[in-house]
Amino acid sequence: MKQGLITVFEVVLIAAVVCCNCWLIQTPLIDGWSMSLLDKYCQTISDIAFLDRYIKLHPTDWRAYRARAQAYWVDSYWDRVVADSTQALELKKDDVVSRRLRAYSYYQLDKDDASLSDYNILINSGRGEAQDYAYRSLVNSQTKRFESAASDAAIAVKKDSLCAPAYYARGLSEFHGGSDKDALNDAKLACQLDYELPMPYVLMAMIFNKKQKFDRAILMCEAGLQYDPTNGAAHWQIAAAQVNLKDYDKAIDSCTVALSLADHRAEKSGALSTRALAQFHRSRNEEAIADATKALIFDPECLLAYEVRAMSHDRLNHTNEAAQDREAAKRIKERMTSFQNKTSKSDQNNGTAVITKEQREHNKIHESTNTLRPAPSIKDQRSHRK
Amino acid sequence: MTNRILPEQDQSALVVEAGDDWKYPLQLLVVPAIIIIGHLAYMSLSSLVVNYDCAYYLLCAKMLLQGKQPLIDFVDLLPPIIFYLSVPPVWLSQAFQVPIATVWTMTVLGAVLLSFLLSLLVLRSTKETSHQDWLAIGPLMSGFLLFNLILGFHFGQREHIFVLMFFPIFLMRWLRWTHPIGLTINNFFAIFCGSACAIAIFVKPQFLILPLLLELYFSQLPRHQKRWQVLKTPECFSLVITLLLCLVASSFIPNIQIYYSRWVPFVSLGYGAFFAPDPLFMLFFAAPDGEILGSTFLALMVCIAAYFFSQRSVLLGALFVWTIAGLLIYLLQGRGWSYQSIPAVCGYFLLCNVMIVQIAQFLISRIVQLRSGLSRFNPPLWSSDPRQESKRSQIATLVFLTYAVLLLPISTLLVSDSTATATTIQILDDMIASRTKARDTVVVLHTLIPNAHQAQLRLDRQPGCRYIWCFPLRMTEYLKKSNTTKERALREEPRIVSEIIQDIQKSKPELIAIEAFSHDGSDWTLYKSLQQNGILKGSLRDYEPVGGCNKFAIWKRQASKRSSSFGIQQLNKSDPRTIKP
Repeated sequence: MKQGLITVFEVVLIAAVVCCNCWLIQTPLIDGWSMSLLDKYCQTISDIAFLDRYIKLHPTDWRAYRARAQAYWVDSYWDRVVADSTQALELKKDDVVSRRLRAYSYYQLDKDDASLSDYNILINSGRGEAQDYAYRSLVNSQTKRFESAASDAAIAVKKDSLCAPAYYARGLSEFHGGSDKDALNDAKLACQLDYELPMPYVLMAMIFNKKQKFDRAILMCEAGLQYDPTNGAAHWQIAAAQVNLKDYDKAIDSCTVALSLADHRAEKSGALSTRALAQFHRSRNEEAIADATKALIFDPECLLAYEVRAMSHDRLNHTNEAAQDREAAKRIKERMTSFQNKTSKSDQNNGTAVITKEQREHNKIHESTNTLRPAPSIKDQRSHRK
Repeated sequence: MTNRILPEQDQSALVVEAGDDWKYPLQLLVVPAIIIIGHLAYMSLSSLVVNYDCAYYLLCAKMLLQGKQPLIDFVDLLPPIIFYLSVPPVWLSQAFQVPIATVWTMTVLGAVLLSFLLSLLVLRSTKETSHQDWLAIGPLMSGFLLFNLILGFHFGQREHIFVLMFFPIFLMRWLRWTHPIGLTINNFFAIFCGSACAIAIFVKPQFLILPLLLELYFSQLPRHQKRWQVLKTPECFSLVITLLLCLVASSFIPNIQIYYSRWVPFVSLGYGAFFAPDPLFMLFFAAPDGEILGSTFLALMVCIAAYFFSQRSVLLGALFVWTIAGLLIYLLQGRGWSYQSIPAVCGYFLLCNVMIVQIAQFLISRIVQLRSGLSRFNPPLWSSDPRQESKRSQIATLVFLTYAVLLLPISTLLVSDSTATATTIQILDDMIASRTKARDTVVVLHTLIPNAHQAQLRLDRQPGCRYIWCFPLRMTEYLKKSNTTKERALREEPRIVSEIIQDIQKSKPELIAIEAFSHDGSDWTLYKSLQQNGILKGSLRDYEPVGGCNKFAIWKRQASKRSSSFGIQQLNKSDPRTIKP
């Protein structure tokens, strides 16, 4: 009896200890530590793995969701950043970092309204930083609220004179306003402050394309591609240069590559309308119309698409369609000109860039290839893993 | 005979000769085994993770079952034997309409169970062993099962399977060398264990280092006068014969000459293209795909301690040699992937378990000594007198419990659960799932995104290109950097690209995803390389760009081409003359 009792007791004891062993051997070491240590763990996939486990054990810890969102952000998994930062915001509504992460990810995911809403909440709460203004400016540029974009960019630069995206945003708004010289300066500054940002290179390429310095434009795009080979906008600007250099076949290829990499509507509409132009020059009018029509699906106010489609319809004697497209192009141009006039007036007041009417006429065709905004994706901010 | 290697004066007291003592580990291990294996089954079947490498083998095995030929319809830098070995789970999955992840997990769980049961059967032969080693059997087996719990992310890797197949052989060889000649181990078990271990070794011949070094270590023990007779055992014969049979069988693999004539020379030159850290970095075990070793410093300390205490227990010495051999296997591969360290970490973890047993024994002996008020350490509890058998069983249980309690606070320092340091992020799954349907052909051209294999296996999509992962183009880029290999690289590159183009034209995949980013910060990308070699005009003519997805360029087959190609096929079938070349 006594022997049996001891055996049962031993069995229970062994079972309990082995159960604890099973549980403990699978427990990450950091689990008993402070969550503040998580910050250093937010750089790699292994941290995501750890945070997966951590969140299973602590499903109401908003810091864990935020930390995982940051880890996903490093590797540019935007949809997952949105999911985790939303979760974090549900648990802690006023968390600035989560809001910023979500706003930026929405912007990367081409969800302008959602991004703008988050940036507005962030900035209206009085806790907005220079980068928040800069990205809100970029979202505004994308949604063609050029005046808001310009003012946000100006605030961003004022708030932090070392913020590269702020200079890029200001450069982009200056480019839309026609102040190419200032835009070029700001793009250069953005590159100097953070040489791994690809989009300032693309902005410079746009300016060089406009100034008919096509070789330099291509060089700039290649520099940008060195830091982010997946940048569709850079390929599109290479195509724009190639169209102007009358290398239409290469331009078509570059546009196709841009389309295969593009993850923003602006990039897609830009690449499609440029390809439409190249097709038009190759006398492939149906293809040009098809591309321009697709471009207008992505951006209903794409000037170049209307212009190319109008020219292609002309060639095919589709008089009514050509007239409609020309009318639409005229409306967009007027809107652009009114904004550029406003900007150039303020520039003249400031004594900065002055663009003559002759120059504008001269650059007309090149300008028309560049009136689209580049996809303002500040990609590839990923740091190298350990 | 054990006595010669034991330092204690009263050696007879430390030798176990009781005929029924093998029952001890069996009785003691019933509860731990049920708990650990149950926990392992719950963990693995609830997550159903198929490791990226295993997913790749299963994908290729699936292609074999479809009648495709290795090295023509799919190419890898590994010898194709592993794909044939992966056929049974795929066949079972297809035959019984069970998801492949479930079948695969159950297969590996079956291997764990089989290894454990074989080990127990081997341990039945324990007749005469040192007291320390005898007490260590329970913790050793328990530690072996516990080790499987941390392999979640690498569950079923070749290294894991090797460890499972090697463990019974290890115990068998330990018993053979530490027992008198004539130790009775069932010949069938011995042959089975030898063959299973040989197959695991044949998949990765580096594993042979481990049994060879162990044999060398055991042969140095002052055991038998006719020590070479220990080599004339069924498991040794079956291991050698199976290895030879595998070698002969591999020569019958279709197109194997292509592997030896084309890929072996090419891969041996270009393997440096992939993450090749220096050995010092590798010794930190900070692998890019997760870590399974806990504290490197602690591991070093344990190994040093084991070396000095190896005279105390044969198991300590043997496991120390296992760890060193595992380390050699890990370093020899020169990549530092964490799964490659599985044999080393397993050896080390088992070594730690035996070390803890030594500490547990020491503590218990001290407690007994204090309680009995004896000045000299030789309590009756430790006697080998058969009349004291029940007491010895009690002490064994006590040692096991003390070991298990001591392991609790330090287990996370010894090893790390791989699922807490590595994960799979589904980067293309949503894209593939939304744009294609089951059994559609897709091509994912990448140089090192193993998640793509998992996606294709999970979503049941057919690979449409022989290069399921496009290792050769990264190698040609690497070879171009050296003057001696540049010519070869320039010769191979267009050939590889033309094969990709041919495959795409032939298989007409619904979706093509091409890796567009740089792994190492250089300006070389697979997409750029393929563009330079004319893929846009070669095989993407019938495709339209969809856009970027997690740094992959995505192309979808044009709807018009889908219907027209179907129409052409129909016309071709009906009347070949209707279509002019």
